[in-house]
Amino acid sequence: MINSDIELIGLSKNYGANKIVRDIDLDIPQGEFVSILGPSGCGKTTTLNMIAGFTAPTSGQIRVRGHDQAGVPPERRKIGLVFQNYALFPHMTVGENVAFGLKMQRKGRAEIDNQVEKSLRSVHLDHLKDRYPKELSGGQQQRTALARAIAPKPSLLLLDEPLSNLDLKLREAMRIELKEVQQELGITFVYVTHDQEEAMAMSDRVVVMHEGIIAQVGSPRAESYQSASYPAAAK
Amino acid sequence: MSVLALKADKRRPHGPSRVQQFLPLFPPSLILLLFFAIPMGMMVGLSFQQSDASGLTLASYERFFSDQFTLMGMARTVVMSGLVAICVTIMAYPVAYFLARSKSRWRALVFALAIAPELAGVVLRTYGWLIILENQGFINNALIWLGVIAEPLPLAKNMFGVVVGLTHVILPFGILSLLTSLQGVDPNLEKSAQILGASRASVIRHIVVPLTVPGIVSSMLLAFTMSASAYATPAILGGAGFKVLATMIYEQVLFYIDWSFAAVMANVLLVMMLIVALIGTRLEARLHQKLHT
Amino acid sequence: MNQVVSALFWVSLVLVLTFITLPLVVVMAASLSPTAVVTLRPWEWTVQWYGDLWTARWLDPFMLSAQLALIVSIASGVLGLLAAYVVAYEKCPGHAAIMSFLLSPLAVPQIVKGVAIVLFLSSAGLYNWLGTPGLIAAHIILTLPFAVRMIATAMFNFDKNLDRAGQSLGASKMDRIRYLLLPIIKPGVFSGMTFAFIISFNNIPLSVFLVRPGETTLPITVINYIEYSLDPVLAAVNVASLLFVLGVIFIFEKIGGFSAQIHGGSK
Ligand SMILES: Nc1ncnc2c1ncn2[C@@H]1O[C@H](COP(=O)(O)OP(=O)(O)O)[C@@H](O)[C@H]1O
Ligand SMILES: [Mg+2]
Repeated sequence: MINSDIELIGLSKNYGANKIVRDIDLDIPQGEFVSILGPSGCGKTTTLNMIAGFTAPTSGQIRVRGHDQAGVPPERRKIGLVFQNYALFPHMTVGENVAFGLKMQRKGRAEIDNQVEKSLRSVHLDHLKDRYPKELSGGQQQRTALARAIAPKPSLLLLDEPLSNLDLKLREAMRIELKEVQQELGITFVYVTHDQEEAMAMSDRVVVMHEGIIAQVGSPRAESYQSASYPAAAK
Repeated sequence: MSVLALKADKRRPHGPSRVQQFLPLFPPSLILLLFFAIPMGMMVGLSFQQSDASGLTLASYERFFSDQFTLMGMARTVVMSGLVAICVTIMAYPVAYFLARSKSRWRALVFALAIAPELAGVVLRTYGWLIILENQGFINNALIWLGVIAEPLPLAKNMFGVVVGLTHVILPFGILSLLTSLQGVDPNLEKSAQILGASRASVIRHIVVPLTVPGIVSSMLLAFTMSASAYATPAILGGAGFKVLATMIYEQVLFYIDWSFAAVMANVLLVMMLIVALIGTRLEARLHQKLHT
Repeated sequence: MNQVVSALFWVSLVLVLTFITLPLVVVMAASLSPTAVVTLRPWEWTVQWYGDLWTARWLDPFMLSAQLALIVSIASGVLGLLAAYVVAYEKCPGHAAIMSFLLSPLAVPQIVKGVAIVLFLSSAGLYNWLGTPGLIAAHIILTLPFAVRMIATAMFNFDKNLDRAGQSLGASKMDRIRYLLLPIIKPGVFSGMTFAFIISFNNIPLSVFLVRPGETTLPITVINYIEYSLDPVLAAVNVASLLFVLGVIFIFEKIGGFSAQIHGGSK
């Protein structure tokens, strides 16, 4: 029955007369690493914002594990988010940043400490727990943002061009790390990028977006494309 | 997360309702309304009334504009403010220029020196000038001791003393206003002009000053409005004979208890300020247009 | 020629800086001079005048001014936060117009605001508002626009992505205000409050209408005293209140950390 994590059904967004996202259908199963690939301005961020709950769709539906999300505020969607500019809380240490989500769930002290430790270890930042964001390099900030997003154990993580502010070398190293984290946790990743190589290197499935519609859906590797059991969701 | 909770939330996208959204504005607005907007309206109304007559009348305004004493006070206010505007701008310019261009370690010190007096308050500074300028003051004592003069110079309790005191009070604002303007002028413009053989003097005359005309204008207007509405400095350094609008208003309220005449004076001062501000914004917009097209 | 211009520039800079510091130095020296004649010979200096400050004549007005400034500063901080929140953070419909309304007292000279308030209180029959309650209200009208402007600037600069990040981590609106917005704009709030404190503590043009016997602020007490005497105790009062203001700034800075913001500390 329902083993898809998110379903987008006829999802559209208009800003005035501009149709930014047009009638998107997409089905993402639990644990998949999906990339949304497309040129700048094609509506990727808008789509992500609708899934996260920051933007209300003009029409269509978003379902998470079978539940319609209309009217559910972002803070109750339990969806992790990694921003392009990281959006780290400047007045909190790395540890406090990572603990924030757990603190909001009113978790106990011991559980928070334990989970922060674990998240930081999985992004190799356990030694920088007491630093402030401005004392970190770009790559370290990026990893802090990732640790912060995964600490409350969301079942779904949205990443909006998370590597685009890093230099090429670091970007390639981070791809591997991100993929490792995703496999280790087994959670669904929706990864937005305009870099084709990046999308190909990391994802189970690539959704190509163009001017607000899904132009193409496919596997990055021919053999897995063959064995892919999910039907293409494009119209 | 229960399905019911989700349903209940459907009503609103997210964010509070309109009324809730405006609720925090209520206390600050109420205070502004009660102690600013209503009193201002009342004061304007009062200026058109007479205690012995009902209905609206221009009598108090007629009195204001036909009275030698008040007209002199108004003229004095304008002259005083004009002089202060000129003094502040001329004195602020070199300091602002230094602050805008210098990279030396003295910069922080000069900045602190320029701004710190603002913390001291008007009373301290005006009192300082009083003991410097008065007849038995610092300057007169020194000059008499040196034998330069026999009788003390009249430095305080007159226009001179007030202009000196106000210039000192307003100078930091002039420096900040010119500094903003000078920081907007690309230092490379000056360098390239110098490479082309222009002398220091002509770089300043033909490049720096013309490009900072908007800053000069706003510094002068700021100094003018601040002087025209200043109360303490004219009251202390001006002495009994030196009456400007601000000190006259005070006397009307507290000594003559003539409210409607006080209201007229206050309105005249207010309108004067608004006119200067209007001219200022017009002029700045025009200058801006001229420099940036 | 270039040397002449250069020399002129440096001379004028030094002269202006001397002009700026002169009255402050003279008041300091006067407060330490044994007689009304200011002496610059430090070996003759005495602190006797500071001893004379510990009388009700100076202490009462000082206490009134300090309490007034504290109340006004806290009220401006709280009211400014409320207003700035709606205007700059929520960006409610018509926020630009509301902002203009909140800043409108700035366009009116203090002396005019003072007349308006005293006429209003008198004609409304609120005679017992003259004195401390009137002083508080008038000073708040004076300082609130500055506080609103400073706090609103801090809120405009608050990165909305931080809010979204907080939201995606499950923070409710209240949590976001408490853990993200307030700590991040704290320096802006405290600089507004410090500003309000200084303006209120030093104010003359509004206070002059609202003080009454037994409820007189320190600056008004000083200018009334200047009218008939220039003895050095006045210099001591002025220096002492400047030191007090500097101390207050230091404390506010310790709590609010606004100099970090000025030097580009956060973000
Ligand atoms: N709030 C908004 N109001 C109007 N237009 C918007 C808004 N947000 C985004 N857009 C427009 O939607 C289009 C897609 O934006 P976005 O989803 O950010 O693209 P991408 O992330 O793919 O680069 C852009 O042309 C942008 O100008
Ligand atoms: Mg985008």
